[in-house]
Amino acid sequence: MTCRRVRAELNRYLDGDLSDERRRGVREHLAACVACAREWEQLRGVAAMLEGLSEVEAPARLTESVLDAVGRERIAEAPRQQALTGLALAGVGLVLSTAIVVSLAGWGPLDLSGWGAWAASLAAAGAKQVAVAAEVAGPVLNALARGRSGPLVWLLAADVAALMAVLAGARRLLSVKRLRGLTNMLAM
Amino acid sequence: MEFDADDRLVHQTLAGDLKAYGALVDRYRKRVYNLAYRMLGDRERAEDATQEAFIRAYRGLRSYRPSARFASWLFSTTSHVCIDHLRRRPFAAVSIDEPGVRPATAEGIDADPPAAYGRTETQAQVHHALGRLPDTQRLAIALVHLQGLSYEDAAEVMGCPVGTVKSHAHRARTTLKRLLTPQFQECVP
Repeated sequence: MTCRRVRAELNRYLDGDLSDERRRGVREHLAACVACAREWEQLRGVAAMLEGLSEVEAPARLTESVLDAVGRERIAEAPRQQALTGLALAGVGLVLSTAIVVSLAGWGPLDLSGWGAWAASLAAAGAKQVAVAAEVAGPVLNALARGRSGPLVWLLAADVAALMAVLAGARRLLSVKRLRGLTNMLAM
Repeated sequence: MEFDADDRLVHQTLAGDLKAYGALVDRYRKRVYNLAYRMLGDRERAEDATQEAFIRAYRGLRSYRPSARFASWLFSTTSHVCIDHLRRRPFAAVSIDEPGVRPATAEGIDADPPAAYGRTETQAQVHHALGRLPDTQRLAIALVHLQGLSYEDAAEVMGCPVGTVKSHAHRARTTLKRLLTPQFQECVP
């Protein structure tokens, strides 16, 4: 084997990655070539120096600081999880009560193609939550005040409550920017 | 056995037991810190990176699959954190007087101060030389030579083929040989 070839193989020789035949060839060359033997010793020396590097002690406070940070995240995460659960439940309630109101009011079968636009307008209303609530709740409260407390009115009231919960939950979970993005997506 | 214990602690952590995660941190704190130290160059940054790595690992714990080894998964997270740190600021050269470069002894104080100084100096030179390697080569060396991982495990950590890790490690060792033994000898045919 030539010096060039042997030197190209020294790293694999160090890793024990060569076939028996090549390993024997390298070994024989190293026994005969002083310069390549020096190269080999230097490479072995580098590996020994790396493996001889002392381990540094990790600060003991690390565990505590990690657990503090993780604990804070868990505390911050809890209300978000609760809001998410509430939002999901309120959403289900909203859909169900809307369907019942629509069917009881005899407004005919639902036009599903319009639901995208409906959802978009609902999301857009998030920023004007109070105004929407007042507008929707007004007639219901009037009906209740006039004693017309039939099932339709109660369902409407439940619907409004569910709508409020959805909007409140959405506002808590989504930033204004994300809400706008969602609105645009639904409006497409 | 160690991996079973890791998986049990991961399972307990996912069930809400924060103490179990504390046990995982205790178990791997030193290895993660040493990997970060050799990657970043100084103890302060290593501490920040270690903390960040464990927090990231906690956040991503649900994505951990027991089919992989927890240590490899954690080292992979650590290496990503270190690469992010290095993008913001490259390897920091460490002073020879920094406590971290002094070799530890069983007694805490070396019985032979001149020899200890020589070893410390050599360690500092190696540490400096590591800092002159490209990040991927330094990572390969840190995983294989300093953490004692096999090339296969290092490839899992680095997310690349075994051959690529070997290539990084070989180039790194050749560079280190040049940096640490400047008197390069011509070959006698």
